[in-house]
Amino acid sequence: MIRSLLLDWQYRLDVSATSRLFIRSINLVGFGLILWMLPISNMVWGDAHFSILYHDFQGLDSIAVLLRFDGVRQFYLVFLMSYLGLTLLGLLGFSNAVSRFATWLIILILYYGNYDVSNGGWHMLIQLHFLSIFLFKPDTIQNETLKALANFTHNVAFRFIWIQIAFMYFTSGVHKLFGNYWLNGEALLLVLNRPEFSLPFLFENLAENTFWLKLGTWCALGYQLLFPFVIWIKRLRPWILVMGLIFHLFILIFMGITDFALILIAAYTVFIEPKNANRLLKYLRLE
Amino acid sequence: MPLQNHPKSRLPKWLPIVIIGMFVAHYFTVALNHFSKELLPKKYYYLTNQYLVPWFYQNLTAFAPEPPYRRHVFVYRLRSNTNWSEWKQPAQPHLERQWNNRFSISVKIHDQLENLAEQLYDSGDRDKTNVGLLRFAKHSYVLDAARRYAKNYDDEVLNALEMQVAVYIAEYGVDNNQMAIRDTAYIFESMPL
Repeated sequence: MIRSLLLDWQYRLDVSATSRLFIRSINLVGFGLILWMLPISNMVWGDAHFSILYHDFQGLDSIAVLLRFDGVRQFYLVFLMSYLGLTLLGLLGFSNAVSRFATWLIILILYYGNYDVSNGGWHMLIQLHFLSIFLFKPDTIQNETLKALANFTHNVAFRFIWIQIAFMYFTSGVHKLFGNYWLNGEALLLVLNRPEFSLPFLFENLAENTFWLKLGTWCALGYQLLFPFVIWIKRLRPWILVMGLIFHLFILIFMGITDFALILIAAYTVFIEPKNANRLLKYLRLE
Repeated sequence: MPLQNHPKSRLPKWLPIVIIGMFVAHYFTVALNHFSKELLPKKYYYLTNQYLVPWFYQNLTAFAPEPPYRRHVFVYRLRSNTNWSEWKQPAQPHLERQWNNRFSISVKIHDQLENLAEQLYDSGDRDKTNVGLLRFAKHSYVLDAARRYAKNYDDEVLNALEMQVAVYIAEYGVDNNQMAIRDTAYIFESMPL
């Protein structure tokens, strides 16, 4: 069985349409994110910053923290514009392994340039940019061995994008089991009382832990623990994705962690069935 | 979709194993890194960081094991002649803008200011184990960053001689099913502008 699968992945690439949709969607969200931050870019990456640029990386590692060097920081716009250009091209369908590698490298440098503005969503975006490097296009390759290698690597990387997303929920969910507030059903009350993760009408009125708040806490925990397993079951996949959409829209609207929510919603495109992805790409006139 | 019969492998037999092995090893390291923060011996966290930081660093344990129950707010005041200004809370207007519009970029200004408070608190007189991405910045670096903020974004600095920074701390807890908030503050030394 495993041997046949390994062989099959050299010859067939059934997920190609989903990969193309996924690459476009993460480029779209990356493009939107940096475009959104452009008006305050001088405060974030430029000379009007107030972040701490101290670091202790050396050698090759210092490339990742290029924007922490004064001499490089003054050219931060070059990095921003390059990222915007590359993601726009990716969104329009013009990307290859080299351009996706460059996209990953630049977002990584921007992240280390000021990680005070980032969150778990940014970490996810960076990882997805990285994994997308390996979503090769075998159609353009003539050599049979290289074509098989491209097919195989694409198939493996595609499954690891699923694993990356599933791992995020799994890690977050399991760690919550070792705390008290999640199991006691108090986490949502606590979070929604924090002004920076809430709205005034919520934190001014939520003083008591009601049944509904407890249910909300346990649903969030349950979702994170179930996702890594249920996502592999084709019949249940649409349901868990709809639940995820509601979960992330809640985070966007009520908690205001907008970028995290949008990045995760964009990442969900990797779970769309290839035939539906194909339909969607055609409907959106992207292909 | 059923597997099809293909004639033979086009790749050397070892290559598919190596490719899958690399992905598996990578994610095994990521998993070891995450689970050694709380559950496994801490030495694995530092060991795996050697490989993961900076290129593959990711922190996916948001709001776990507990949701953030301590809020740190950056506040400061300025002295001109003998008079101190009121305590200023620069992140507040940005937060209010974000309440009105979830797509407001103000959230990123707010986050930077609150991270400054976090760093002030951590670098102040804490004695924490480093589980973050970088070692905690020296307190003097954080004070410099606070001063840089005031100089760049507060016109009153022009007439000021001295600045004092502080961290307002609110601790959130649940007591008998009721929300309980306790607040305090850390006031740091004054510094010339």
